[in-house]
Amino acid sequence: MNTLKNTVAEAQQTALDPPTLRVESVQGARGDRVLFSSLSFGLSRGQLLHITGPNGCGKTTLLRILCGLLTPLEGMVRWHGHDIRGSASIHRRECTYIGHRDGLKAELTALENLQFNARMSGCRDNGVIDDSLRLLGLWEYQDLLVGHLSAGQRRRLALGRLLVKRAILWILDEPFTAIDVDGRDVIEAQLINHLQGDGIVVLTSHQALSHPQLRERCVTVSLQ
Amino acid sequence: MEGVPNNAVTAFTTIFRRDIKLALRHRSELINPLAFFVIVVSLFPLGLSTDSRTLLQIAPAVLWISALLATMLSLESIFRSDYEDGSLEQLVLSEHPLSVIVLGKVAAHWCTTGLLLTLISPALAISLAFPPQKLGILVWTLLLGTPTLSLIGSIGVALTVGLRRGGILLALLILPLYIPILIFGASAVDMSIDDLDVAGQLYLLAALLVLSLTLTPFATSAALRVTLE
Repeated sequence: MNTLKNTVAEAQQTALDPPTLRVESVQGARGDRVLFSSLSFGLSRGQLLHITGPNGCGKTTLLRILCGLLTPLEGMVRWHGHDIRGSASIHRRECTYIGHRDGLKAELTALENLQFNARMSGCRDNGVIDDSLRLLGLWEYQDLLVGHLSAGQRRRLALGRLLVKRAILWILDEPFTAIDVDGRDVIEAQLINHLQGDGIVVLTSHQALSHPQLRERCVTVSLQ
Repeated sequence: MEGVPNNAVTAFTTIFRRDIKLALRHRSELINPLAFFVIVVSLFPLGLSTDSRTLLQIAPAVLWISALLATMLSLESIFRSDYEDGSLEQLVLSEHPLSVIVLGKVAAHWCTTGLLLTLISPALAISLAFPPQKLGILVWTLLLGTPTLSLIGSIGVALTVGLRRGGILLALLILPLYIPILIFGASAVDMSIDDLDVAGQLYLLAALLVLSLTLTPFATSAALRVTLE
């Protein structure tokens, strides 16, 4: 059903640590249609996985399997060696998922949305929230209702969840959608920062990653 | 982030406060069930004769059925908007037990519907020639019964929120479960008018509340996970 164009396994062998995230012969489907099967790869701390492929090939399905929203038809996903369905609370604490829907409340202001996300992940430090708003270029818009923000600003705010939660595993579904060039640079800088701090990033994007430091840590999987 | 108390209680209060804030900013959704309750109950004295005995006879049933239907009308709002904007995914993926999050959301829903219905019910009861000295029992039954309605309803909403037109299905799923509460609630009010002892019904309503308080959050969480698959 699918071919791994890039040799993920090879990239795997060069890494010294055992993979923190391991996908074992996973089969994903939407409705009755099998999108990919026998998909296996591993990711170690400090690695970025870029999933590519045409529309409808199962990128989002794979991401939803990785974050535990979907149960694969076959196979399993291991986090620190444990099946994520068995040790869901650890996996959820250490994972942040930004789906293609932003998960923001239109009736709350940008600041209130970010504060809510921060509280839910145990961050009570208002300095972190302020810094995130400044970094994302939303400082002047913090008291505006999210319903009045532009699509790109909403996307930036959704990505702010990454900055207030500080999880190890970032799973991003098309993070650059609607975001301008400056925003893209900010986000790529954060990705590099995260990878250098031994984080793991899994993302889908139709555009290639531009920053050389990201490209050297990047493993690509192409679903077809 | 270490050392910050981040437990289930924090999650409960955080989600509760967010939902209350959202309800207050969404005035129309807040007012809809109340307006429905007021309109339905106040139409009865207009449609029926002004004979106070007839009104008093049907008052317990009218008040309870209207409160039940008003609650049912508002149920969708527990999860609908969170489902549509992707917040529900984030809540399911949060590190906190989903049952605690569900409990916070249902508590907020009750405070913005059932509690308000209970508070305005005495005024409406008077319009049905209800004896003022018995209003306490009416308020008690609603206070014990409406949270159970919200809790049981949350299971149905969790199951149907992924469907485009889940309204009728929702009614079919949960109305049978509402019947015991309606029977005990309305009969307690009815019997109190005849000066009979209603402690039994009140205890039963309380028992149903405790039972649904402990069990429904788990059922609702499981239903939400299925819905998001």
